[in-house]
Amino acid sequence: MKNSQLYKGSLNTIIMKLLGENGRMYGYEITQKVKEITKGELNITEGALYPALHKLEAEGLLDVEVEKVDNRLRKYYKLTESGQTETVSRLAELEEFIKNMQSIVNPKLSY
Amino acid sequence: MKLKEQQIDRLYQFTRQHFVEWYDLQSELVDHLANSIEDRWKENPKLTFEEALQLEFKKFGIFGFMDVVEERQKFLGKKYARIIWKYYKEFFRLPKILLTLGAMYALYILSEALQDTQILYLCVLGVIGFVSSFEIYKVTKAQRLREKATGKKWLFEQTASIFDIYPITFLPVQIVNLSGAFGDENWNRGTAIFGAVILVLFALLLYVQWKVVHKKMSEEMGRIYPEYEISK
Repeated sequence: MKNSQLYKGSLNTIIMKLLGENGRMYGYEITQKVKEITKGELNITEGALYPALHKLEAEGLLDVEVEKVDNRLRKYYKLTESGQTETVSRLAELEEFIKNMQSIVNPKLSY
Repeated sequence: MKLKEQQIDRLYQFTRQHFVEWYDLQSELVDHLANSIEDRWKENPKLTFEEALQLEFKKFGIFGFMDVVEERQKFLGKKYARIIWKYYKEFFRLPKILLTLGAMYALYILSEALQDTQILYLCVLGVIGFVSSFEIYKVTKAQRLREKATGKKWLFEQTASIFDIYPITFLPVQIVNLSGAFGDENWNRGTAIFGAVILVLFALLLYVQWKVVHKKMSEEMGRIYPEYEISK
């Protein structure tokens, strides 16, 4: 992932936000969606994505569904009810963080 | 261009070569690799399948699939412990708690009647060890045969058979030692009660792990893995 240290802490929130918007998604689809939204600026690595997905699933924030697509099995992730609540609070936290960083990095623009 | 059946098989083989032996993880990685190879072909149709595969695998970093496997193992370990706990708890609720307390009391009464804790408890521990070893052997043998017949290994099943409760084994052994230390001449009521409680708790834990939970494995697997039902 680009500038991994800065983005790393937000990976789970990014995944949850995307799932909140798109309903259910599979791993590869998530990487492509992030690339598309950020116009290729942010690239989620596979080695980070799947551990993050499995961790969120373990925490009960995600649920899984499996379907046979083409000639292979595809695993879809979607937010559970507690995942949806958690997404709202994590996004609020992230926005607060961005606001604070903004005040530090560019005090003139802050309000 | 879509991947052919044969190429999908090659991807399964590739994940196995990179130390992902379990079907549940393999199928997720295979789908990921397949999607990315198909996308790569859209940009560069001249790439061979193997070239595209190597390029995509590089994206997983120097540890390859290892991080993915580790995280999954941690998750399943916790899940398995929770399932054991779910069934173990039943022995401390009515009506089963009567059985639990009854067994503890019977062991204690026997110890009092014999005026012995060390030899009696050592024998009980021996029986528990013998019976559980036999059960472990039966379960792992059945699992191996199943894997051979289906050609599929499941990480959860494997987590279950190597689940480590063995550090707890030292506790009953210590009790037997302790009973020797205190009761060299006289039988000690406190040690007898404590020993009876610990031995029954220990036996129940093994019983739940190898008799109860393993019997329900297929049901639990279906709940954890939607792909388990599909691939049956």
